[in-house]
Amino acid sequence: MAAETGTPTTLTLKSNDDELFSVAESAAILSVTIRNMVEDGCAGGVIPLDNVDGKTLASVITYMNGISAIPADEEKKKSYRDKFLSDKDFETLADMVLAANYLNMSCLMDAVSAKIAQVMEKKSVGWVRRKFGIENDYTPEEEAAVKEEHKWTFEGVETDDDN
Amino acid sequence: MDRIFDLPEGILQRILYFLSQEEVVRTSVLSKSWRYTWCTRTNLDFSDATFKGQKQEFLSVVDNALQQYCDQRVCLDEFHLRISLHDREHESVSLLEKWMPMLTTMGVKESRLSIRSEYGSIDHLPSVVFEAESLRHLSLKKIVLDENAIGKIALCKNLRSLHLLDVAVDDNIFQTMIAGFPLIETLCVDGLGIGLRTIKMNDLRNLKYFTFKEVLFSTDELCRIEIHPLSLETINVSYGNVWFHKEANFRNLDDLHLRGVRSSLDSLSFCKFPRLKSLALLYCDEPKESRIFIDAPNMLYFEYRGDFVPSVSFATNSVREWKSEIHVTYIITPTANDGGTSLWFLKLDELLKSLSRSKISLSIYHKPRSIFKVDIIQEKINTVHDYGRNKPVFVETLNLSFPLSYFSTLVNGAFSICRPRKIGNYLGEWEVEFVGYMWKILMERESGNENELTRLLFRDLEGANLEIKGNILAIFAGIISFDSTTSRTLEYEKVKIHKQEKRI
Repeated sequence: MAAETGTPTTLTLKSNDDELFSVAESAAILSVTIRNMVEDGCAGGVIPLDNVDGKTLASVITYMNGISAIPADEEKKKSYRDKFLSDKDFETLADMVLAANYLNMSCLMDAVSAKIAQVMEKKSVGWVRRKFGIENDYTPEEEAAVKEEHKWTFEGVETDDDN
Repeated sequence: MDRIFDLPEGILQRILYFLSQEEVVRTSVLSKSWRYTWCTRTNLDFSDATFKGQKQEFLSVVDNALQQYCDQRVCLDEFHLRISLHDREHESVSLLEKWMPMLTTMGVKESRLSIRSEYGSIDHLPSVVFEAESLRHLSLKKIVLDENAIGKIALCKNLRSLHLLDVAVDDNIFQTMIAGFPLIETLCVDGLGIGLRTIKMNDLRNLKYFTFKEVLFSTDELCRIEIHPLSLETINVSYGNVWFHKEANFRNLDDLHLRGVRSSLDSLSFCKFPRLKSLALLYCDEPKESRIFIDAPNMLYFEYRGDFVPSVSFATNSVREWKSEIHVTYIITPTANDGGTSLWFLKLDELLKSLSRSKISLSIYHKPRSIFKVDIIQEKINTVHDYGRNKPVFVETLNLSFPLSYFSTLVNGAFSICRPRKIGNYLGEWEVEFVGYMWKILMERESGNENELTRLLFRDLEGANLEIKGNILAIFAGIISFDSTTSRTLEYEKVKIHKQEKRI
């Protein structure tokens, strides 16, 4: 596994479903969790990431490689993040935000959180419940009371009462 | 399964952080477990714009939320508020006087306030605003800053950014105020009738972005701005007079943008700009007479706009490729003799030579276009023969925008000092007329009809391409006679003439 002098060091990451991934150390250390392992000298063999499945890890590695290839230009990094997350569905985003949290990657964590928030924006209550699998346990009277209490937040939002 | 609610609390908090206040409060209707989730997030963010004029409701919603956070001891890190004041209602002011101390008590780390006057009133800033220790970002619009407002400014030492738009403030109050913000990084003063006549920034050692724009009548005296902080990264001044600290080393400055500055810019020659990437001198009164030397080894972009040819030279790193964009307006009165024009082109030649390591885009305009009749200015070709005493400078793009009556004067002048790779960038009417005329002369020469004009115009010419896009073909059709087969099939057509020519 020892890398030759002068060539970039590659790390091997293992997902919880036993998939192996190679990634340049310089990209992988975007994760503080991985960086700590490297600094502690625990990154010689395979690094097991017990909380991340293969599909999500592949995605995270794509992000690591993509973002680390961009020089220090916050605008460009932001537009890369936006593009990277643009086609992801909620399930994928939820997996990614958990992975980003576990891997301690604050930039990805914030980007995914903001994306999930953006998905919720301007949507009706019914839509959010369906999308996020939230079961409505209010009685109609209770729900009406909560709505009345925060009436101002429902201005200009579509009402749908199909829930 | 409530997947989003099952996310660990830290993650859920982070997601909610990015929602607007009304979005986050609305989650209370989702289900019982969401009922009070909104008031666990660590930021509050209110804008009266959301309430569409329901001012009372807005004030009570903000007040209730703050009270709730305070009573339940919920951690509040950030507080954002956009609010308008009106001189006839005092409720907003008295609530601000209640909320600001609350923020301090609750240990808010960062607050951002945006305060403006509305409905034509001009309100005075309540002094309580500058009492909030957590205040980081303040933006004021159409507000008066008076003695009273800055009474307790010492408490507000954490301010990082201050935006003043159409804010009335006098020199003394402004100086006292900014001296109270030692950590300020962004300072923007913009608008009409600001009242400021002097800005001194000597003590702002963390200032990174400085913008000043004033709307004035041309006869008004400009505000005097003394620029000292070496921490500055961006300086953008429009219609102010800047005074640079002589021999200063602006080691952090990336971007220097000056527009309508009337003061002398001589001191720039004595400063160092090791990081400067972009310099714009737009419609400034200098350097008309004096020469300016810019020590900026990392320049990437220089822009000049004005109605005289400036004397600017640069010390730049020769290995880097950089760009320069020159927009100069040719103003010579009809009575001026040839000497004026010759001198003008000599200065332009000097400028181009000092920029010759950059990719130059040169635009020459004439103003005013309509006053002079055709043929008033008809200079003799031989007077422009020797403008460029040395080798002509290569120019990426040459744009010319003037009536054909100036054709011989300006084209001969331009061609004797530079060799453009491309002529014409826009497709305005003047441009089309000019390019068409040019092409006609070229075609005449191709057909063996060479005269003194064509010889001068096209010396060193290696080739000519005329690219016409379909939609302007009609305009061209009147000027250039295409052969009929070409024009009919022309959608994106290239007409090409290529002929090697030796220098005459």
